[in-house]
Amino acid sequence: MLKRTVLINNPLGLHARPAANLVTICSCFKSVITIIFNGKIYNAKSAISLMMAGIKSGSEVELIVDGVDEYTAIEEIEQAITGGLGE
Amino acid sequence: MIVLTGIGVSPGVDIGKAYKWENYLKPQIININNAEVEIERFRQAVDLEIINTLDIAECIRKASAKKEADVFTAQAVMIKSPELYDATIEIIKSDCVNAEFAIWQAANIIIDVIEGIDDEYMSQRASDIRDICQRICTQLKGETEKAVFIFATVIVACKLMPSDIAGFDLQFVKGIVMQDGGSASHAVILARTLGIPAVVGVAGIMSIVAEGATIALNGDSGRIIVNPDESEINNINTLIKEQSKAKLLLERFRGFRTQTADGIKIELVANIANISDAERALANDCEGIGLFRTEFLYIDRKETPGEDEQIKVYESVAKLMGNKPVIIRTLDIGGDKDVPYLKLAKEENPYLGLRAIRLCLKKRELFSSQLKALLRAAINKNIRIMFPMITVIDELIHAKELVRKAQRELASQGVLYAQEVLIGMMVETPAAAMLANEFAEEVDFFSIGTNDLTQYTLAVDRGNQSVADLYSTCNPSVLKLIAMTASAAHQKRIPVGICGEAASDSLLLPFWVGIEISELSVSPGQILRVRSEISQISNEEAHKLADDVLKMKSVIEVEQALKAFRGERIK
Repeated sequence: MLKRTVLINNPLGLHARPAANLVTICSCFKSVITIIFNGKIYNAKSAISLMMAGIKSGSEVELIVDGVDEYTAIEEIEQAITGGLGE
Repeated sequence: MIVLTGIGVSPGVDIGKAYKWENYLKPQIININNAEVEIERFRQAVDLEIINTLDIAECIRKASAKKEADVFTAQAVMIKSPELYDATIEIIKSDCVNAEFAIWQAANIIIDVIEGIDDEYMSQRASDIRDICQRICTQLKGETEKAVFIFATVIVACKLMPSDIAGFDLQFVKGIVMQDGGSASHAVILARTLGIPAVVGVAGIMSIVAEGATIALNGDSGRIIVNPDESEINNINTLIKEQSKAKLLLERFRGFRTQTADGIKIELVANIANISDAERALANDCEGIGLFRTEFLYIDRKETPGEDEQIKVYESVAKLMGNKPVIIRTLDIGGDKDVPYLKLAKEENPYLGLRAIRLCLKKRELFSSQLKALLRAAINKNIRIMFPMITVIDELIHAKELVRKAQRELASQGVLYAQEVLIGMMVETPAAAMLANEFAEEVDFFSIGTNDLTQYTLAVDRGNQSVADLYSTCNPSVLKLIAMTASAAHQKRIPVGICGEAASDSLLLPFWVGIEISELSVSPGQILRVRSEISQISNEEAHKLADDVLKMKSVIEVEQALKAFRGERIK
């Protein structure tokens, strides 16, 4: 299991579009991928789960990746998040 | 005839027959015998809806509204989220109810959570969930045909989803009227992009209007007329004619440079505050960006935006503009804005207090990170830096020194940055205008902010109703300061622009031409209009007008002269 703290830098926070982009990326991996924000756990493969988290711009979240492809997964996901998730 | 007023959110006037669109039919609860069959029906509806949603996205993308199209691509991803998809199946199984009822049960839990988020933009995204459920229910009903209209139609609804609009046959949709609604909903943005007039917030419209009634709307004023009488219909038809004529006339100016009747060129650029403004400016054929306000990067958040975040925003605007110039103004913020992390003291008089460049020179880290982001973003791009609210020359010299310092620091960190970047200043205080000759030695360009210059020169807060009538950019003292600034710029051979609201004022345009302003920065929607008006002004006559105006002593005199000039020369 790998953990990493990442900064959400999308100007309007992790709203529908970036959340959907994150889900599309996470769904490419076999690992279980979750995000911890404000002490709650959210499924990073569910766009609605991420939208319910209400993660605002400038928030730090904990990214947890657990599974066979966790090493590649965490790198690619972190890169995608810092890269702004297509925004 | 009934006249109602709402909020005009998408401009234009039109008339048509009312088509009442009722969505959100409350699903009936039906007990079912075979949960497996119901679940299968639900699965098939969802699969069909994913394909349908992607089709809508494609359809809107073709109408060149990429951002709105992305909303649907995102919705297609959302549909199979376990919170909605699995939860619905679970409810069908455990409660033996129909899929329509089950999906709204599941959705309402999600909607409650999302609407509880204390961020307006995010909480509004609950509408995405409603939209999805609505469409899955339509799939469940098995009706997916478009509403087809054969005559001019005005859609009347409580609230419209973007997918509702995309589901109409748009050829005959002349307007949209909503009972609820804000100006920022996706449906409104889509209406604007498609050029369909829209009015929202019209209380009671659903009960007042009968299906098929004639309804006229004005998307600028927000006025709605139900069953207009003959004279009103004539009025509206005249307006519609004028409007389409004006639109066509303006379109002729697309793709051309901005120049006076006798061939003097003026750069016509746009004021923007974010990336979507930049897209709008480009769609309206701007020649660059004359004022990019960067405040949005700093407001409504918990901490200062990082360098990388800023770079991305600056770069994306510059990329959009290609090699057209992009003038980026450094942070213009003060005690009137609530930015908790900056810990700004509440001031009794924020417009005369610690704001804009004054604040940036005090908060070095804040300023330095913006300068570094600008310098890094400016590599191989036509980005220019502009300082706001310069009052004394020391501020300008100091700010320029901080630019060099930022360059040295970036160099020592081995980070790439632009070594040559044009630096300009806003002239928006009388102090700067009076010493324009001296300031011109120190900068590569001037941009005159007429809003603040007027307020500071006349000592008038224009938000204050009891003195607002004193506020006029046509006041000779304001115009004299502007003319002084322009002539100082000409002597030192640097460009001088205007970026306040007065830049697009029809009456003042000839005066700007007359004092040889080289660049006008206006809001995106005004570009083609200003270009068309400038094309009718003769440079020689404008010079004479400016000479006359600069000898006048009252607002009334100036306005009369400007109106007479316009009346005689511009139709």
